Amino acid sequence: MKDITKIDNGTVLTEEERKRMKRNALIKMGAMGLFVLVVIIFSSIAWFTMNREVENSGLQMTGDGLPFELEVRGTKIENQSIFSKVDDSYILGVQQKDGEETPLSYYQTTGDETHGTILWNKDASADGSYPNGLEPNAHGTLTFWVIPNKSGELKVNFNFNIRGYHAKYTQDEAHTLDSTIEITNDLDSMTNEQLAAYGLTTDKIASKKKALEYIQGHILFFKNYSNGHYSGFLGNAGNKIAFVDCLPDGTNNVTAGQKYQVTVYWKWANTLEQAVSYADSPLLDSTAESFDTDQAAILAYLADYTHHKVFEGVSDNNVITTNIGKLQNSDSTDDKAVLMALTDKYNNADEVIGNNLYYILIEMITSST
Amino acid sequence: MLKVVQKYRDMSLANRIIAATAAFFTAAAMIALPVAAWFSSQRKLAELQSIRTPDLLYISAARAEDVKYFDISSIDVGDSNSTDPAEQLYAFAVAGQYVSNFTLQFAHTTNNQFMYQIYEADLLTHTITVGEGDEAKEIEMPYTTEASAKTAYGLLKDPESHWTTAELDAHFKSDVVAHEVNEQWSNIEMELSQRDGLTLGTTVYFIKDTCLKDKNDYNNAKIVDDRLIATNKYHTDNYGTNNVTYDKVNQYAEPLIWQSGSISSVDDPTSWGAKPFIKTFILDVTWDRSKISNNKETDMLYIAAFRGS
Repeated sequence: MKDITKIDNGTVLTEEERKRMKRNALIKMGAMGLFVLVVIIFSSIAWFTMNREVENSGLQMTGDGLPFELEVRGTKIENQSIFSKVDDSYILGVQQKDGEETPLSYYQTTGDETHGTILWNKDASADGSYPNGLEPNAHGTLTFWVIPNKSGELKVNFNFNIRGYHAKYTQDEAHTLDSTIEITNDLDSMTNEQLAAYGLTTDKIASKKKALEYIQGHILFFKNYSNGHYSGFLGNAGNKIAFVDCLPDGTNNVTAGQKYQVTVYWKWANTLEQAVSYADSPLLDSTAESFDTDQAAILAYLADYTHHKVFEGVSDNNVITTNIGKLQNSDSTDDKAVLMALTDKYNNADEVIGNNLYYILIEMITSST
Repeated sequence: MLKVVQKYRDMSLANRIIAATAAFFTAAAMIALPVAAWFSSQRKLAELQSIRTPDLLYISAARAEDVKYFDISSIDVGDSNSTDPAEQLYAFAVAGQYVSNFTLQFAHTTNNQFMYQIYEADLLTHTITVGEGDEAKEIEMPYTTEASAKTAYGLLKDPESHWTTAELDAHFKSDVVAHEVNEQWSNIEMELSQRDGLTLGTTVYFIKDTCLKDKNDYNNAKIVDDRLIATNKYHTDNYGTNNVTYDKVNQYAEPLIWQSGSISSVDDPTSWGAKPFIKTFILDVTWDRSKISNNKETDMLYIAAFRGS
């Protein structure tokens, strides 16, 4: 290092000043070096967390902290050709191969940034295929497999929710899907000019949001189904179910790499009668499926009008509380009066759904709580 | 804020650097943690379903005209000397967006001793060839005069001409109903291809096909004093439970109810291709002149259609 004895304007520095300047320069360089080092450290940490690993033959290693991956199976994906027009963050899961490297119809999630959200493959013969669209009384089965990567206790919850979309079609004879827009509160702040691109106007938004609330209220999720009877209603738990509750014996002690099946059933209750009646009720259509073991749970769900919008045209919510209350009190002499008060409102809500919603996304999101 | 700035200025250079580095580390840590969390916290699966639009079925006049043209408001039952048949035919239709099949319901009070039958109806048509050579097409043209319709009817039902003219007339009147074609109902906004070739103001003829409901077909009928009236079966559905019991309501004010099985909307669904449709029916009202006169009561009739599953 050069000995600084003079600085540019010609003044001579004292010994003290010289030492101080050297020290300052050293400190500045040291600090600079330290900053650079810190930046390098943090960018490498970020690089590590961007796990792009995808190769596997069974045991899936996740470098990002989640103790499991999900798998779906089957060759069929509902509405696959238009899926990207509704939500393009969902893509095909990573296809698995068997021991002989033959591809299987098994698709898994991974920890990388694109395969965390995957399309739901299902068996070609599985329930829940409605080429003309869903209607009241529709029902489906949602199956997936959980693959833990650590043995022991696996704590994860599965949350089901429904998102709704308005759609715009081409004007030609083909009448194909042009674009969709999700029905969210964001629509409230859009102007007529912005909405026009989607074929919407501000006065239609309220009905669209109502229709979405109604379909979220009318589609019921259950843990079990057998012989025309649903049970294990999930609606009062926010359509959430814990992994441990999906295990056959309830013992949460999993083996790494093993695949654990989870099946959840959904049903668009056809009429109010179907939702609230026992299987042997004369009010129930004889071919209808019933929820009778969960009747109390469903009544509680219907009574909670703040969280579950089920009835259209109710000017006073007391109508709901009073009438559902009568059913909860098993006052069977009044059943017909109750149904007369509410059944049209249930059906009118279905009509609002049919006239306002084009597509729904039935989503399952994992969470740790 | 100012105190902090003041404190900072009071610090020596070394301390300032230490403070700044510490602040930087903290900020960087704060950024790194949520970034790592975003990549790892959840997995998602999704299934996309479309929602079907609600069905649109209408009860209309015979060829999807406004239901006001389906007028059964007054029947001349004739007196005991009358030689006219004690029978009147009316044509109505179920029209609207395509459904593969539907159910028909019919309900009425019993103040008058009319007997009701419901038949599926066919338009009386003949096939003509339009165009020549390669472009020749066969289309169905409806008969538009009574004479031509009657002749066609005769050939259909009595090919070997056993009937006298009077017999032919009588059978024709009992089996065929005329209908004046009016504008399509404005409520039904769909294009109904079954209305093609029908000129407004012309008369077309419908012939009875399958009988869906015979005179005594009801879900809740019983015979009391030689009259058909309704049982208690649907009393609460009609009158509720407010202390108005079955025995307190006039027995003729209890409606008789009939429901069909599944009726197919079109004859050949595969070739029809899910277009909007019209399906015509004939309501045949008959009576016994000894039991009814023109000085009669009023009955209410209800006809409803809903989609089959």
